[in-house]
Amino acid sequence: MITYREYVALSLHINGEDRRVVVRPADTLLHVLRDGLGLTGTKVGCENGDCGACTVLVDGQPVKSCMVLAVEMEGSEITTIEGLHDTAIQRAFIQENGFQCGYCTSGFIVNAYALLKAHPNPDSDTIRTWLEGNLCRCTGYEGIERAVKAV
Amino acid sequence: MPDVSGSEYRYLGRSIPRKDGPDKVSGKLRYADDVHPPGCLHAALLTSPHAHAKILSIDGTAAGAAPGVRAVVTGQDFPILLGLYLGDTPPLARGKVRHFGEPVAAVIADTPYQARAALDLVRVEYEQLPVVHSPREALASDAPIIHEAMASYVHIPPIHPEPESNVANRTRIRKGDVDAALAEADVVVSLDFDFPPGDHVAMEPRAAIAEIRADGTVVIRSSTQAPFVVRALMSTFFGIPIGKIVIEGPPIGGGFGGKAGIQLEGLAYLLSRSVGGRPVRLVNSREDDLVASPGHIGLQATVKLGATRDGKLVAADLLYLFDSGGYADYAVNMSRAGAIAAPGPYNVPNIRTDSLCVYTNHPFATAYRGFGHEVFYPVERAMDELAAELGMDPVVLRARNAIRPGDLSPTQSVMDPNTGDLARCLERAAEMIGWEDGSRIDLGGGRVRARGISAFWKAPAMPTNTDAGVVLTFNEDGSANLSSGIIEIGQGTYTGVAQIVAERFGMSPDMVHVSPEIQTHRAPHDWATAASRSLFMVGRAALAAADDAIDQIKRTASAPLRCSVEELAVADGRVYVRDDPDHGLALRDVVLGYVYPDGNAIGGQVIGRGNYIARGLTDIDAYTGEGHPALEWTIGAQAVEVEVDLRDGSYEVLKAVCAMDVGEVINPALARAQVVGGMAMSLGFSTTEGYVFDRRGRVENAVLRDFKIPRYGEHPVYDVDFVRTPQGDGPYGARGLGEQGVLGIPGAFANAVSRAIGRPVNRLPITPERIWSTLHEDTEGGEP
Amino acid sequence: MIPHNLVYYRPSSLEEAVAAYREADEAGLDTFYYGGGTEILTFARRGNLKPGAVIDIKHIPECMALREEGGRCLFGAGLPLNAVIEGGSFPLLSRAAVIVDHTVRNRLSLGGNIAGRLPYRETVLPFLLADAEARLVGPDGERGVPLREVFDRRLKLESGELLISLSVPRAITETPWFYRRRVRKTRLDYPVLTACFVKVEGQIRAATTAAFGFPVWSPRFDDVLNDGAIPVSERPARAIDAAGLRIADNARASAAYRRALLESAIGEALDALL
Ligand SMILES: Cc1cc2nc3c(=O)[nH]c(=O)nc-3n(C[C@H](O)[C@H](O)[C@H](O)COP(=O)(O)OP(=O)(O)OC[C@H]3O[C@@H](n4cnc5c(N)ncnc54)[C@H](O)[C@@H]3O)c2cc1C
Ligand code: FES
Ligand code: FES
Repeated sequence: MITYREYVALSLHINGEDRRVVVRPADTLLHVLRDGLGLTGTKVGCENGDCGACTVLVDGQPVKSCMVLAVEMEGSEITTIEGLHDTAIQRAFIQENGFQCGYCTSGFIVNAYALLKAHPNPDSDTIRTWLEGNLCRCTGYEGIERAVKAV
Repeated sequence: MPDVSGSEYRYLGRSIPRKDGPDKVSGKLRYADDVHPPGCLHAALLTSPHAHAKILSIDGTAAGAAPGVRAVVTGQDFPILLGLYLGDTPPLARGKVRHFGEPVAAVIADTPYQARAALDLVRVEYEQLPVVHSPREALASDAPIIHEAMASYVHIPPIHPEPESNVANRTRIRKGDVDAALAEADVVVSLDFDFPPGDHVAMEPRAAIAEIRADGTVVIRSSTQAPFVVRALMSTFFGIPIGKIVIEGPPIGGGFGGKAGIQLEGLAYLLSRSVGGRPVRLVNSREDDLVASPGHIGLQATVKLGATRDGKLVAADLLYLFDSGGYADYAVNMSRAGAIAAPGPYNVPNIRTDSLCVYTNHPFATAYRGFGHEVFYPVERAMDELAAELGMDPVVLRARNAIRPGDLSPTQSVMDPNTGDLARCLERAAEMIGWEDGSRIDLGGGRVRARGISAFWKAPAMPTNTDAGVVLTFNEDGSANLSSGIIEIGQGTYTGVAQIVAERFGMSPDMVHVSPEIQTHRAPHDWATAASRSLFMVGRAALAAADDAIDQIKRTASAPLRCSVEELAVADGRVYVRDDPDHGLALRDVVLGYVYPDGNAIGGQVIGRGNYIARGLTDIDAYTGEGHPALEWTIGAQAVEVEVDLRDGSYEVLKAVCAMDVGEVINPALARAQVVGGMAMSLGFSTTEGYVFDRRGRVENAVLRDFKIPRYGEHPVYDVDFVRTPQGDGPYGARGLGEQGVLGIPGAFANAVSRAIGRPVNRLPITPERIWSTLHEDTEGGEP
Repeated sequence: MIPHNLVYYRPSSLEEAVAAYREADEAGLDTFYYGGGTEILTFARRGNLKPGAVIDIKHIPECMALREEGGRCLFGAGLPLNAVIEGGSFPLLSRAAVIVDHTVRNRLSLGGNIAGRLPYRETVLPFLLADAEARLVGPDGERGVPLREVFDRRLKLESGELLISLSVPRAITETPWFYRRRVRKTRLDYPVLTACFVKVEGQIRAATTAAFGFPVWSPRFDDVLNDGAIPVSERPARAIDAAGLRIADNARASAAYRRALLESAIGEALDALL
């Protein structure tokens, strides 16, 4: 059995790199990514599981990083927006105006990336199922929908 | 999106990709809270659980002794009042709290969690006071007074607070003789409306990080739309020399007006001062952002319209009671802006508007996309009731009353030839929504499809001396650096302005660089990135700067090219003789001075300067509203199609369209995106948003789980079209369009639902339950 | 951000989990089994809960099981809802587990939804209708009990007890069913009403949540639905009355509206299943 108290020197596997970071067991993954590891591309919108701005991939599955503890992540592959480089969905977001202020964009792209891996040609229902957990206040979702459908 | 204009231009009218795209899609763009200075401390706010209460005592001793805590401060520590137009807001509540969620104390600690944990140890004793739940209640003769000391508040002259009452401002518009006109009107409709206050819900919560340098310079990194407003107010309120204040304005994660005033900056500065000037980071939790910081204004209204039998409007008698909440902030100006624009883009000979900004015990309001133009929703609903009374098509009724050049605006200024074409916008909106197929279709099985339409207009609400400036400097490769005072709030203005400069230079927008952040001590002064005026005013300044730079380039080049300045032209990265294009120089050989083969240099670097200041604007008369407060009106029409299930009130918004007269379109894709974004926000506010209050005025949905904004998949099909009556004085004929998309949707949507169910629905948000209960009321028509 | 620190245990067996609970409890810590963690973290960040210790059950094989054995379908309590949905062996459950959003469902656990504080507990409804057996383990060892015996509005666990899994007879997962979920407006929201119906051996069974504020399965309710002496059109209203419970009335929906929605859901279910 693993037990963590006070502070933990944690090994995380993030974007293909092994990273060591000292955390409290109570720290969320979101907090550790941003403040412990400088991966500020993952955004804070609510810390309550409601907005999706903090979405990252854990073993390929989208997860809201404000809703998990960093200590739960040992042994998992974590991918943040910084781990995606010039992917088709990123290009499509630029091409189709899938963003305005860009604050929701990391979360949407990470989630959409996983969606397109799992379902290369998703129908509208599947897209909605995957993306409705991410909020965007600027675009009205029009450009985001176009971008996902364009890939 | 096909390019719909710009045939005579090379870069204007084209949907070039946004300059901020690559950084935004890779998570590399740094927003306010993505960068912390070394040694930064962290603050957390304790907020009020009551809507209106006396603060009997606050004890921060235990919190002060908690691990990592560096300071605990309360309102008593900061005996000053802040405000935009009216100084009514303590940085932390002092003596009493005026709304649920009002900050009463702050803890500063080494880590965010230590600050948060210590909040639990701050003891506050309250005595609850009677709560004012609405503007109408606030105006009752026995209503509790929310600001007892209003008479002592400083304010700017155009605001008219009424001490001993809850009225923070009153705007009167008096045009013609409304009573006489109503007495003679063939048809009169009169209706009451209301909607609750709510929130912007920008995805980025507000953030400010302040520190005080050894030489007294105050540096604040803030998620702000208005760094220069913040700087000026900080100087006024805290007596800091203005040159010693530096506001850093990174791109922001959505503003919508909510970051256009002074928000956390003043408090962040005070917190830094409490710890000897060390950097302090004050970032809202989502919950604080929802209720501690200001949100969307609420409204109660009574609208009376009179018309002749053939549908000519003769009079509008309008009472607007804006729900400012506990503090005035921008609301005192929004109630004024709404009054100036009401009843909308119609030629109405007799108008009487009383628009009051009223204090209540709700979370307070600030600028929100549309800025007081919520006034159209009641009027547009009333227009449909009028159309029904007259047996007239709502589109025809609106077109018949469209305002035209030469007509008098509500403030009695003459509409100029730039006035947009409402009739054409209505026609296009009706076409796009499919109006001709009938505006109500019974689908059987209790399902009905219906359409509603609405008109709108808006001018920027801004100070009469609003300005903008642009400086262009150049690099060794001939590319330009554009520096302005505007903030990238998502609207793509940096890209649009770069396009304008690129067009003037005849060079690719890739050769015009725009830094993603501004700092007030480096950037040219600018009023604020608000009121949809950025592209208009900064665009004008950019043109002037480009022309200034081009003049300098030509002057330098004329010597080595041995010709007169007049004979030269600039395009394609070159300056050349117009009649002999092969004879010229690359810009890179001119912009930092020209160097002859023998080493002699001339000209020096090119620095293009351009500015713009609003011309000929006046304040309005306090008793009649006469004046010329509007720079340019953007006019349009919107329509919405809904499908309602009459059995349980559930519905879907199928389609929303907008036809807007924007003059020239600088970047069609960005323009459309702005309009669609506005419509989406407005649909949210019409369908689900707004605070829910309990009996004691506490907000029940002060968490994003319960404060519902539209989600992916709930969006309708959008259609947007632009009508192009050029704005003579706009940059390349363009007008503002950043806010207008929100304006007509509430009216169009409420009209569609009302038509679908055959009863007026005059309160927002229109939830399925509201439709169901409207259908199950015994009394005809009226709302509960 | 969770202000107060906590102790994190990750047991890999049921024995370790129970031991961890005993240890933390004896140390005076407020101790919680930790499934998806979404509720614990939501409450803890706002200070509504100050967990002193959490015991992550996701590495205990029994809690992550998803299989058929001995004619029963078994669902580990630590399974994220997406695994339950995609497992697909119990169609009504696969439907009822479509709550929250897809991303949260990658973590949010079946057991957490049933044992949590939030009153909706939507995924318990299919189990209440399907003669489910609950496997529990606690300081006094492991036991298996009919779910209905330990679930009344909420899961009644002994102190330190852990829900390991739930199982239902395979046959019931194949019976006809009907499902309705209603919200205030936004589909991604807590329900105003969720109702599940199955038809087992000619008899309709119904379970609801949110309508009365918490999950309800009532034999009196079912009796009315199946009472041939009552005209079908009258059964919805009569069944609601027979339950003898107050309908929830709050900002999400008034009692009158909820009642109208519930009557129409029952009506639709009778149409579909009778
Ligand atoms: C964004 C969001 C939306 C939501 N919407 C809905 C909704 O529409 N309908 C709905 O029903 N719920 C909804 N929920 C909440 C949900 O009901 C619970 O909060 C959630 O199911 C808890 O699951 P979890 O695995 O994350 O629980 P945890 O946070 O891990 O645990 C919750 C509680 O259950 C206890 N617990 C967990 N597992 C076990 C176990 N195996 N044995 C004993 N005790 C255990 C824990 O000790 C704790 O007290 C929503 C939650 C979120 C985050
Ligand atoms: S920050 Fe995690 S869901 Fe909003
Ligand atoms: S682009 Fe601003 S929130 Fe989505």
